[in-house]
Amino acid sequence: MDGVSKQRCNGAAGGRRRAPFRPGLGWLAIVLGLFVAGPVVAQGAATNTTATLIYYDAVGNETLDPAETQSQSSFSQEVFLALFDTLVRLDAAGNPKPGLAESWRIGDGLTTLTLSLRRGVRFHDGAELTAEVVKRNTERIIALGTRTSGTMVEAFRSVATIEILGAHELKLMLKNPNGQMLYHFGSIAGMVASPASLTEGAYGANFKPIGTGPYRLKSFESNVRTVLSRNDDYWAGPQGRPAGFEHHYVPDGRARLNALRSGQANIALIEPRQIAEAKGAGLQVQINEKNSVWDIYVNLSRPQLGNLKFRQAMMHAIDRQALAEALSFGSGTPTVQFFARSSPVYDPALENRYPYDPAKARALLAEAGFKDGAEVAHLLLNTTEYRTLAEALQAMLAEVGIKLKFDVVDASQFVVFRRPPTRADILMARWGGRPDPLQVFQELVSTGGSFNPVSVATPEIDQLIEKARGMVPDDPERLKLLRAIAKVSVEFVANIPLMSRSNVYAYRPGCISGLDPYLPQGDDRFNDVKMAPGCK
Amino acid sequence: MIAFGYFGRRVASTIPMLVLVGLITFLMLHLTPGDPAAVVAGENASLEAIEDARHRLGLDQPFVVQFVRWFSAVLSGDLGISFTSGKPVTELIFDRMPITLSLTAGATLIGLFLAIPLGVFAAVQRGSWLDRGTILVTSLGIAAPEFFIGLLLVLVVALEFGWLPATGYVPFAENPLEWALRLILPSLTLGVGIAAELTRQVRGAMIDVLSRDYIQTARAKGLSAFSVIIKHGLKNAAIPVITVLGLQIRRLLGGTVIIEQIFAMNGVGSLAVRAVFHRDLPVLLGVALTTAVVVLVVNLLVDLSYSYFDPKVRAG
Repeated sequence: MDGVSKQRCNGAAGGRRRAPFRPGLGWLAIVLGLFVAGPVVAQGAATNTTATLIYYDAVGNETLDPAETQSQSSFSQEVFLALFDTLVRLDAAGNPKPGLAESWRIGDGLTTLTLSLRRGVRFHDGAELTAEVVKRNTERIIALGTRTSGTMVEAFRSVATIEILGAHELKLMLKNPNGQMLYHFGSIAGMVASPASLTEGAYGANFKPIGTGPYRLKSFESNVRTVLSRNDDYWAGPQGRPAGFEHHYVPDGRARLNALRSGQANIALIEPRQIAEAKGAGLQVQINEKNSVWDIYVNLSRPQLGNLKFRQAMMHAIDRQALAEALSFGSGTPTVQFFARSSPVYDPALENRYPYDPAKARALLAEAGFKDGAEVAHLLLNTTEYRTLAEALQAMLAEVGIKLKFDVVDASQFVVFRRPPTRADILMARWGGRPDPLQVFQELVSTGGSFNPVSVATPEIDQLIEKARGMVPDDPERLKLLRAIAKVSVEFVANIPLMSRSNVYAYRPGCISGLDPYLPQGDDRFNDVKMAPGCK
Repeated sequence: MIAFGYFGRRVASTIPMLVLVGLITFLMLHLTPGDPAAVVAGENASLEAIEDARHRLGLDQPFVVQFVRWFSAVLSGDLGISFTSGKPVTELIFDRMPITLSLTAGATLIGLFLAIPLGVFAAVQRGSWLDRGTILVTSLGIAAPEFFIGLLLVLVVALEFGWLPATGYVPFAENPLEWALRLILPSLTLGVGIAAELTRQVRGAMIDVLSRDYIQTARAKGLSAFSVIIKHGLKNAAIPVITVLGLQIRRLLGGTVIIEQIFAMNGVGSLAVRAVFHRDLPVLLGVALTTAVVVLVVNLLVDLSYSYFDPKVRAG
C-alpha cells in the first residue's frame, strides 16, 4: 500500500499535477533543460534548482547530533534526514529498502545481520563510506550508554560485536534474535556520520554533522535556523532539488503563516485551525495524514482503569466524530487505532468496535461497579491544543458520570506519568509514531513500554509482541501478527486513541511538489521536495 | 575625580544586588515543580537514564552545594552549560542579545523621535486642538496592548500592502538593509507604547519648565523661541523624562518576549521562554543575571545623566 495515495491537496488553485513522463518527448525535455539555465527536468516536470526552499516549522533542533537525547522524534527530523542518509531507506509506507546498505542478510535465527554497503558513496567532506566508518559510528553510540536517547539505546542494546568482512561489508552479531534491526537502521539509529565527526568527545553541540545526505550544512543556530546547501555530489544525483534548504524554528503558528504570506518562507507547517485562513489568503494547503494520533495513555494499575468494562465505557462515551470535526478542522479522522488509514496495519473493521453510545457507556460503568460514576485524574499538558481537547473530553465523559480532574503540568513534564510514583490516572498526548509498527505496540501497550507505566491490558499482547519480534520485516506472517496485536489492543482497550493527526502544510499554489506523506516518522521527508520554476 | 568616585560608588552598589538576584532566581527555580533531568534524558528515556542525567548535571547535590558551584563559576565569568543544547550559556545569550538589544534600541529611538517633538509642541501649544489630539492619541497608545499593535501592523503593513516583511531577523553583518527592514515593525510596535508614555512626560515637564521665571527672563532678553524652548526648556525638563525613559527600557526587556513571538525573532526573550518550559536552569539563571546587569547599567546611566542635566546632583 502506498502512503502517497492518502495525500490531500486543496486550496485556491488545487493540487498541482505532475505531467506524466512520455518517453517520446523525453529527448525534448532534456534538450530544453540544457538550454534553460536554472530549471532542470526531473520526472517529466521542470524544477527550480536555483531557489532556496525555506521551511518554517513548529519544532527545532537543539543540536545536529543524531545520538543526542534531544534529537528524538519530537524534534525536527527534516534536517537530520537531509544531512544524513540511513543504512536502510524506509519507503513512504515504512517498508525497508536499500539505503547506504545496498543489501543485507539476516542469518542464524535472527542473531546476525550482514550489511553490504553501497560503493562510491562519499561524505560531505569527501571521506569514503566504508564498513569501518559504520562500525565506528555504531561503537560511538554504544559507548555513549545512557547519554544517548532511549531510541538509540533500544536500537543497539542487542548488538554484541561487529565484524568487518570487507571494505564495504560488515556483520553485526546480536545478543538475542531481533527482527527489528532494519527498522532501527531506517531511522535515526541508522544515520552514518563521517569519520571527521567522530572525534574524541564529539557529542551534542560539539558534534560536526557531516553526512552523505542530499544537503550539506552551511550554518546552524540551535533552535533558530539551519541553513543547508544542495550536495551536488550526492550518490543518487541532485535530482532537481533546490539550491538550498533552510529550516526555521518558529513556535508561533500565526508567525509561521504570516512569514509565508509575506514572502519570508515558501512553505510552512500550519495549525489545523489556520486551514481556512490559509486558503482564504490564496495559499495551497496540503494535509499529510501520519501514523500519529491523539491518544489517551492509561495507568492500568489504578482501580477504575484496571477494570476492562470501565475502559470500554470510556471508549463508548467519547464522540470521536465530533472531536475530529470541531478540533482538527478536517485534518484528522476519528480512530481507535494508532496508524494512518494508509498504513498496512490499519484495520477499518476495528473502527466500528466502539461507536459513540453514552447509554451503553453508563451501562458498562454500572456493570464495572461504578454506578454512581468515578473520578479520573488527567495529567494535562499545559498547551492550548491539549487544554481545548481535554475540556471537550471532560464534557463528554461527565455525561456518563466520569469526572475528569485535571492535574496541569508543562508539556516537558509528561514523564511524571510513567515515573514511579506514577502521577495521575490518564495522560492525553500526541503520539508521533515509530518507524516499526511493532515498536509502537512495544512502547504503548506492552509490559514495561516507555509510555505504559505499570501493567498490561492482557498478557496476550506481550505474547504476540514477542512472537512478532522474532520475524523479519518481509515475513507475511508479521503483518498478520501486527494486525492481531492491534485487534487485541482495541478489544482490551490498552489505550484510548481519539483521532488521527496530520501534518498540515501551506505554500503558494503549484510551487511545491514531492512532499509526500512519510509514515515511518512524525515529520515528512523534505529530501525530494522540488520547487516549481518562477517560485522563490 | 568627583565623577569617577560617584561612578565607582554606583558600580560597587550593584554587586550585592546581583548576588541577591542570583540567589532569589536560583531559589525560585528550585522551588518550581518539574524535573530537568527528565527533559535532558529525552522523551522515552529509561528511569536509569534519567537518574544518570541527574547525577551528571549535579542535580542530585544539596541546594547549597549547587548554588555555591554555580556562583563560583559565575564569578569567573562562566554561566554554565545549557542542559538541553549543551552549549555554553554565555554563547547562547551572546548570540541572542543582538536581537533583543536591536529591538530595544529601535523602540527607544522611535519612542524618542515621536515623543520629543510631539510633547514639546503640545506643551507650547497647550490647550490647542493639537494638544488635545496628542493627549487622546497618547492615551490610546498607553492603553493598547503591544501584541494588538503588533498584529495590526503585520496585518496592514506587511500582509495587506506588502511594504515590509512580517517576520524574522537577519543579522546586521549578513545584510544591513534587510536587518533594518525587519526591525521596523517590531520596533514600531514597542516604540508606540514608549512614545505615548514619554510624550505625556515631555509635555508635562515642559509645561512646568516653561512657566518658570528664568524662561520669562530668557524671552525678555530676546532669545529666539528655539533657544528658549530647546536650550533652556527641554534641558531642564529632561530629568523626569529620562527617569521615565529608564523605566520604559526596563519594561522593554520584558516586552520583547511577546514581540519576539509575533515577529518570529529568536532573541533573549524566546530563549528564556524555551528554557522555562524545558527546565534549562543554567540558561534561565544566565538570562536572569544578564537582564539584571542590563537593568543596573540602564539605572546607572540614568543616574549619571542626572548629574549632566542638573549639576546640583553632582555637587550633592
